[in-house]
Amino acid sequence: MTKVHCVKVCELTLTPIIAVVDDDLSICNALAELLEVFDVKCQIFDRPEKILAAHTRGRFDCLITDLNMKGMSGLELQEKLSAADPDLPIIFMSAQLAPEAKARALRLGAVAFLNKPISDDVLHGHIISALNRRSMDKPDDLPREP
Amino acid sequence: MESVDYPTQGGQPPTQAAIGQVAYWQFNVTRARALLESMDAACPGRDQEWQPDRLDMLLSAVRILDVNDEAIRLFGLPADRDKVLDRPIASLWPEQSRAALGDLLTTVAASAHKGTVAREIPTVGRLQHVVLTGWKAFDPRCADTVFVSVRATLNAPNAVIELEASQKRYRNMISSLPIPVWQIDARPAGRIFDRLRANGITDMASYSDEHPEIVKLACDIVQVFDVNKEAMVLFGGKHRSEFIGSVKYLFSTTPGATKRVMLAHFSGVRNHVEELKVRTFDGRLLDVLLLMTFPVPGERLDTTILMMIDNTARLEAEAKLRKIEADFSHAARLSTLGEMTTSIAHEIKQPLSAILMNAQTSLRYLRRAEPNLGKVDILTSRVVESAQRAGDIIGRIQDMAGKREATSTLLDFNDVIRQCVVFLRHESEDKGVVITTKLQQDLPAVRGDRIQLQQVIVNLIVNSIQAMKKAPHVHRDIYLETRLDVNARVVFSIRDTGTGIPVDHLDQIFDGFFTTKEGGLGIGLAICQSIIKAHGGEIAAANRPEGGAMFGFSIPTTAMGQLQSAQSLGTFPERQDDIVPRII
Repeated sequence: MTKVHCVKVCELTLTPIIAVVDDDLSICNALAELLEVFDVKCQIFDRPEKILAAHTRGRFDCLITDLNMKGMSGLELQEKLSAADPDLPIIFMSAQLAPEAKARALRLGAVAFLNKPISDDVLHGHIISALNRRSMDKPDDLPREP
Repeated sequence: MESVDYPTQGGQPPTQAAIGQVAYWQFNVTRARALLESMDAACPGRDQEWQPDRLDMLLSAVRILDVNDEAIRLFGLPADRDKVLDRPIASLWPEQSRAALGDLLTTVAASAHKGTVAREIPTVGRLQHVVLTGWKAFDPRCADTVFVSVRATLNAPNAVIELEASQKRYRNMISSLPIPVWQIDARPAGRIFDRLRANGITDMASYSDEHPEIVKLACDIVQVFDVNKEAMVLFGGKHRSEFIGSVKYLFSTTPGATKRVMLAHFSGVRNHVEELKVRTFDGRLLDVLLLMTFPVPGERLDTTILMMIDNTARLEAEAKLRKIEADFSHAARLSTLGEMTTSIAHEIKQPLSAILMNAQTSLRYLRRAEPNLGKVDILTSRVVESAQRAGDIIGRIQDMAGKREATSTLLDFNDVIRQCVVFLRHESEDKGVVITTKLQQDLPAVRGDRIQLQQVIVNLIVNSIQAMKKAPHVHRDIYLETRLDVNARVVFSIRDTGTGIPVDHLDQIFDGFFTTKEGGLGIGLAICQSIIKAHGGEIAAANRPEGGAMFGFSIPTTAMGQLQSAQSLGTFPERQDDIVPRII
């Protein structure tokens, strides 16, 4: 038990990468700064299409996405990424109360569905659990990003 | 001027008739003295034959000292008394009775006693039983002053009846007019004006600025002498006597009214019209239209007619109507906003989220053992930016939600549309609608109310967005276009790819309370129409042949005046068919 816990800590120190998707650049930037203070690396995308183009299996350790975006909703993004990377933990953010979307997202395996504005501590907790899940699920044969 | 005070100065003056109906003259015979004495000596008898030359010489030497109003009226003298004074009587006395006047003056001059001398002339024109009565001034210091009174009756009984009937008709007409009428004697002010003119005053406006007391004086001395029943009812007075006297009570509630009326009188215009506020005797405040008709020479100068038309009820009704329109317009805006609450909440939450996250991150940096102030600086600047953005969004919503009076300013029409698109950005993105604009550059300015025009455009866009709910996502398009038509009106058009307008609704969609939306008030488009009409424009709706609806309106621009003058010169072809908005 104690040994396993140590492994997790080691994984975190490898500075996992989180993808942030929001078509509002001010939210992207704010999240990037918050993740930086959490000592987490991140890459921001202001269009959902851009992450689809950049994504490869195992490239990101977690995805934080907005629900309502131009061109594609967070749910559509979840569907597409799950097909390519079924284990990718996803945290949803929404400025709207969307109970149906929330239920659907969680049913499809989302780690959390947070309503904006978001508390940093709550987000931190979900990121930790998402990364833990990723580290546990991560198959050994997959190459890590440099 | 010497005062005319006949009865006390003149021995036994005639007193039996009403003073107002007897014409009085006051003469100075100093220069005629020699002639009078020589004639007296030559022809002491009465009813002498006059040589025309002698009579002319005599009457040319007799100067007028004063006349009363009845003399002015009866003899048709110039209305301006000052033009009569000090003139020889020769040119002003009627031909038929010149000999009688000559006799009278000669006899009065010759008589040693202070009694009266009378001459009767059977007829002079339409007058009958003309009696001239003359007497010397009682005061020996005015030995050369002679008074002459003239009384007469009209010669034909028919004429008397006619005159009386005419006077009665006039009185009846005034008293039974269904309009409040005041009859005013403005002659005292007229006399002051005449004297000022004689002293070279032509600019009464600046004179009265320098001498404000003249306004007060004119107001005090101009008197109401009669009112009709309507006037008494309007002012809530019980007795006619309350209305008689200075005109002050008519003008005191409206600042500047007395002066404007006085200037009108001075300028010699026939009519003066203005809107007044008057305080009635029972304390009500009324909005009235004042109509004054000043008499011109040839008419009875003692009667200025003043009428009032009560506009209070109409103005109140108009104010109520404006308020109802504003309320409806406000309700329509709130209704539109209500339909957008989801996207409004979304729009405001975005900057708030960014603010919260940046502030939380800042705190984390500040609470470190070694605070990273560089980071805090960057993050705080971003907080400021996002807070301003949130403030702007709320400001736009307040503009739409607030109750306000319409204003009229010069507007960049394209700018008005751009702001609407910003306002609806989230709503349209939320519904997957793409808004494309094609705005003609360099449109002339339009005059109007920004919020009202935005209300119309936002309303039309929201309607289009809603009409496309059922359309497939890829086909949700709205095209906004502006252009200038040949009549220099800006034309706005909106086309969508929605379900279109049911054909049987086309005629009614601008009617109030016509709605197909559940819970809709049905006032949106009716308000749009009334706003566009208030801007001097027109709005129309149609279905596009390829599907979807189109709405368009056109409103005048500031360039229209120039265009119209150009058109009248024949530079532009005459075209009227483009006034109604054409939607492509």
